[in-house]
Amino acid sequence: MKARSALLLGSLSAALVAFALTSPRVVAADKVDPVADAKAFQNFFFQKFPDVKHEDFVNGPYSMNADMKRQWQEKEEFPPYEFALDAGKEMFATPFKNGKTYADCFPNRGIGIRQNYPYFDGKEGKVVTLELALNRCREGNGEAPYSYVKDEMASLTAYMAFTSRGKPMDIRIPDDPRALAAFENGKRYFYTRRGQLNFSCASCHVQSPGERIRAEILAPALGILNAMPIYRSEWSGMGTTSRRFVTCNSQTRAVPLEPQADEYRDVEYFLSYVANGLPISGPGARP
Amino acid sequence: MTAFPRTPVLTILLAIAAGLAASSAQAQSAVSEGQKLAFDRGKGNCLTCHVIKGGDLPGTIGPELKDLKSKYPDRNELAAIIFDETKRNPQTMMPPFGRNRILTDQEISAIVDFLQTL
Repeated sequence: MKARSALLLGSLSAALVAFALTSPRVVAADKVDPVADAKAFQNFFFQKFPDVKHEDFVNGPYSMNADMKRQWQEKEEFPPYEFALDAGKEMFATPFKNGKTYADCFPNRGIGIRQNYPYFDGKEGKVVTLELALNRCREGNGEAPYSYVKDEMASLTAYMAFTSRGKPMDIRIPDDPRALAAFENGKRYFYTRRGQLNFSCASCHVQSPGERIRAEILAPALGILNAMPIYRSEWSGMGTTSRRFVTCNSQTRAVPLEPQADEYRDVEYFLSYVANGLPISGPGARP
Repeated sequence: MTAFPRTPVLTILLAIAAGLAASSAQAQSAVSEGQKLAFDRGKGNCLTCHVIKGGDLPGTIGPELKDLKSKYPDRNELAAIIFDETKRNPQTMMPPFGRNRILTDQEISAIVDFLQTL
């Protein structure tokens, strides 16, 4: 009796393990192909805008309109994100109460690494964004986490982006079915219509980049995160990637998720991966 | 006394005239209500995507809204597009104003009245 139940248990768990090992792999092999997705995504924009230099897509609406680009270039002489950048640099260098610094939490002491975020964390089995890593660094050192959407978080990410300017986005998807699932989930979120206005992220940023909604020019999705965080005149201040996602959702009258919700982490993973090879341009300035 | 029998006729005529004036005023107010809705950012907000005569800083996503009476002689067709254009064109960016209850049937009708004047 005992032997029989052990046998049963054993074969059951073997079946479960086999299922866990094979089924996501089958899905991955059949459907999820990030390399092909990224290539198709980039080619779509390169063909739609043959006159825009590839590295220029990271400048959002300014890549789509010559007049706006000129005005922006003049503005860049005294960029509106400069205060945040200076503040971020100082915060980055200031030790926590325990004497450690942000540099102790990151590879290469946090300098020139923006292009590697978000990454897939094998231990956690989830996507980890730069904002999330910064707050985990704080909490790990006994400090309270910052708001994800603006202020200090935007200052810190502004500084980290600035030290990485020009480096090509370099997001890896490890050979792990959970990483592929995260990529696929982000892609699904990006293309799904939601909210009272029935828009997906792609409705505006794939179907209609370069078009105007009233006076505003819609940015291309390709490279849109390379410029984060951004100073937006519309916000009268800085905003992070989290803020961009939350406000996009509320502007289309959808219910925004909590910053750093799994779906947001996954859509950041998807959007960053398909921008691989395009330079980091953050911090950015937008109307 | 001689004028008495005429009174009902006169009253009826006056009533008809008043009625005509009222209904034309009503149509006029539906048109201006429709225009208001079409330009309002919180409601129809047509101007965000379409060029419309009389509207400043129009968007460029949809086609210019003009000659709509000749393009859509049947006002129901225009109303159906506003109600839910995804039925005709699943890829459209146009929000389903009726289906998602952004606008009431009455508001859609007022917008159609306005669009037919363009």
